[in-house]
Amino acid sequence: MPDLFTPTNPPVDPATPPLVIPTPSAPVVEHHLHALAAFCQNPVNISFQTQEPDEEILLFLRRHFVTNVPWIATTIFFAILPFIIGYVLSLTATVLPISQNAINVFIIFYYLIVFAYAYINFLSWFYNISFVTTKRVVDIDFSELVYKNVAATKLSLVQDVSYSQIGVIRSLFDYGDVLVQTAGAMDNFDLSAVPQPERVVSIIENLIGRRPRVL
Amino acid sequence: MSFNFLAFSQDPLFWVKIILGILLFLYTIFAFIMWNQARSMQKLVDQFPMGLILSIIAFLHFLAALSLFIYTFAIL
Repeated sequence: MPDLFTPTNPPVDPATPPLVIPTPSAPVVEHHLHALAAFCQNPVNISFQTQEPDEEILLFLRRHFVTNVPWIATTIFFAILPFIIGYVLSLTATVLPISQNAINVFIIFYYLIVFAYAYINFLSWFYNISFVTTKRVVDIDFSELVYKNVAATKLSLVQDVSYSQIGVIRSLFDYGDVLVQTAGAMDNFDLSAVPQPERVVSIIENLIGRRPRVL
Repeated sequence: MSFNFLAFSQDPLFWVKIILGILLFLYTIFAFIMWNQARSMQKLVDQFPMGLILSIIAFLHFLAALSLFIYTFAIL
């Protein structure tokens, strides 16, 4: 009886070593992470608490600095407000029925509150960080002093990465939301307002093997 | 020097001072929590030297709030 199917590949000789195609690897360029950076590849002067000894940070992400403009504008407004009130009171020659010491206490207290408002907003921006490491995607959320959440997922559990960039401001300053979808019942990661979202998606896709490595 | 509570309570701004004192006390506690959180986050993510600078600023803010609270008691 003739063979219906004959394999075209020759049988592999176990004595012959497998053919290995050497892939050129790009040299890793480490970057010094400056204080207000929102995007940095291979940062050197940063670490996080749950980082393993053999785990390297490949990508550091934070919200784009432009997202801080609303609270900075609010802070400046409230910082100059007492001067405006003082000017108006001097024009109307109004004398407040409290002592100068009490006024000083009020003013210092007011500026402490304004400072705390700015500080909390800065802290919320500064510590809202995402890392892509050689092993995991780590997302650290911190806001309004009372909310702190650290989530991580292995790169092998990442199923899909996508980004959205909606609006003129986002297109102008090149930032957007990156969604990292994970397998099963695990939470997805929403990296909001990160700079260069297309590049972030490309880097994560390279790591999970969804796309040939860009050199 | 003794504190005359009767004279103090007859001050027309008595309640203003009391409320200001309470607010400053609460604010001092808040400033302490703020400093504590800054230190906690510095341990979680260590970005040298910004993490350290932020912790020091929070500590100075706490000291300022505490000083204002004590000063308010001294002068009012």
